[in-house]
Amino acid sequence: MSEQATPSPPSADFIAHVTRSQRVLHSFILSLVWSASDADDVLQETNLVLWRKAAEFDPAREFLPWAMRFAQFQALAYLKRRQRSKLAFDDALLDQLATEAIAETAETDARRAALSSCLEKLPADHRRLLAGRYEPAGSVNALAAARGTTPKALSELLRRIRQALLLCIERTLARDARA
Amino acid sequence: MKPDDSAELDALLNRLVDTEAPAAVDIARLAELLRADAAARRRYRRFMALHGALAWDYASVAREVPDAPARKRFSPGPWIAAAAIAALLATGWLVQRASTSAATLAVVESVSGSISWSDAAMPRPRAVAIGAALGSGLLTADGENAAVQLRLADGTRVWLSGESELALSAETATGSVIALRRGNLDAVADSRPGSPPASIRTGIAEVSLSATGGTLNITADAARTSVAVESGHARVRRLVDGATLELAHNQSAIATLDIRDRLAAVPDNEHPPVIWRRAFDRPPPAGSKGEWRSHEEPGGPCLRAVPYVAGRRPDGSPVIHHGITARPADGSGVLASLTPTTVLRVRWRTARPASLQMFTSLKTADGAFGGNFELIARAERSPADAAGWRTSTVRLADFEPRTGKFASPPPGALVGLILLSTRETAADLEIAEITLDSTDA
Repeated sequence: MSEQATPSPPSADFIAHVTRSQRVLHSFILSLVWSASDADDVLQETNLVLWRKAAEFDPAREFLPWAMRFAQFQALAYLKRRQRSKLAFDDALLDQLATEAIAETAETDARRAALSSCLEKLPADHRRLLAGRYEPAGSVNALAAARGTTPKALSELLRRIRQALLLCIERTLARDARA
Repeated sequence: MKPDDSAELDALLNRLVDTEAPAAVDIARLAELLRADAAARRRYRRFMALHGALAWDYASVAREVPDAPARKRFSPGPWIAAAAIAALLATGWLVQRASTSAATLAVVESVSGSISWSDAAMPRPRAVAIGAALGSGLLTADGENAAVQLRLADGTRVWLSGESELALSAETATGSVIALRRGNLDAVADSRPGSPPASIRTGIAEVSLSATGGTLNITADAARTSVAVESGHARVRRLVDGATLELAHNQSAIATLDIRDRLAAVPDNEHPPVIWRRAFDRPPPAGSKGEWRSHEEPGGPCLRAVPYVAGRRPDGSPVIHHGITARPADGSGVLASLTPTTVLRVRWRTARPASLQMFTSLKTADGAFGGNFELIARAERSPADAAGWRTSTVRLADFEPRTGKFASPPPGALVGLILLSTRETAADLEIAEITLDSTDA
């Protein structure tokens, strides 16, 4: 049996790229698989692939688009493996969404910063509601039961809060662009 | 996109993320809208980016909410983000970029030995005093006998001991960062329902205590991070691949940069033995200080003292002592349990007359820092044999406290570190064997 060469570990720069991109990769994967826990799994698989492919990365290129392609492939493979393709978009639409998302990575940081300030403007009870909804393993049904309301009423409130946040983000970006 | 389609898209997107089993008809309709319209796809991406950011930043959303519901499990998002921050910390980036924010991240509660602080406003290290309020910057413990106790803004108590560096930063999206760049740290967090987990980062991993509180020990260097949970529960997330591990009380784990090393929980001995012995006829475990000499070398086998920083003079210049350390070989952070009759027995010799300075760092029964204690063993009380070896046997109960808070070893204390040294620079201290024994006080 031939002895396999032990691959050298990725450079510190590469590791920094991987770790810095985790938030964007997670969000990107989530847009393809929809479930936060599924996105966690796919992100972990993506990280392993990136680790194995480290030697192929050209430092002269942008890291994020390169990494997002691997994330896209992993998400597609994950959906197929989980036999959820009937409850997911078809490959062509997923590819179109992914391609357009990869082209938009430059504005990610600005949107995140805007969201941060918009969250601060939310009333405390709305932030509390979001915290409950996005608590790991949190669900609308459980949250509605805990708050003594119906899932439908709670969903509608969440919809309005998200809409307010999206509107606030757009206004913040527009204001910053004018400044 | 027509207004009707916009409202429909909005409803579909919210149902998609808030419904545990989205309806096939909803997905089909959503796909239809997205295929037909670039504006709809842009709106989809914006919505999903928001959804993803909220899921990722659960902790930062919850932080603002005093009575947020208790967490069911840790949020993965901040963990992974923290890994990125930890990597930056490993290269010193974050510390260099540390803001001059006046926000207090920690307050110094006790100091022993050489403890210095530097920040962006004053990069030159300076001594810290009890009561000092620390913002963003770097706290350094110089020497094995150095120890500092902090209380973080969230109430978590932290002890930094030995040769260690702790970076504090307020400059992240999810709040402050506490990063152990190297050395040894103990943390005790009280129960804080609804609060984000108390977390500490290293260059290799991020470690977080559950909101129900607990006690843990972290030892970090450039190659690995050891975590031992004494009480409560903690999660360890490895930086390079995001692999996570839940640790229960009395479990430990070691994380490295190599993903081929399995991240696994190892049970610790719930009741560390009261007898412990280390003979230097074999190399000491990693992390021990000293120069090992084998049988084949002149004077061997033994562990020879090496220079270390024992403190700093007012002008900042280092005080150098020569010594060796004995640390646990496993990740438990404990050598042995202390009893009222525990004695420390050391077989040692020096090339020139010198007294042996014996130092030990203790932990409390629940794993928190339990104080530093010291005793001088005078050479004349232990006659040398023909080869110059002396055996000194002293009661741990006779050691003098070096940290004000601990006047005597706390009940059920555990021995975490032994440091043996001489103040005489050219004494050439050698140690053949160290024993902690409870049978012959």
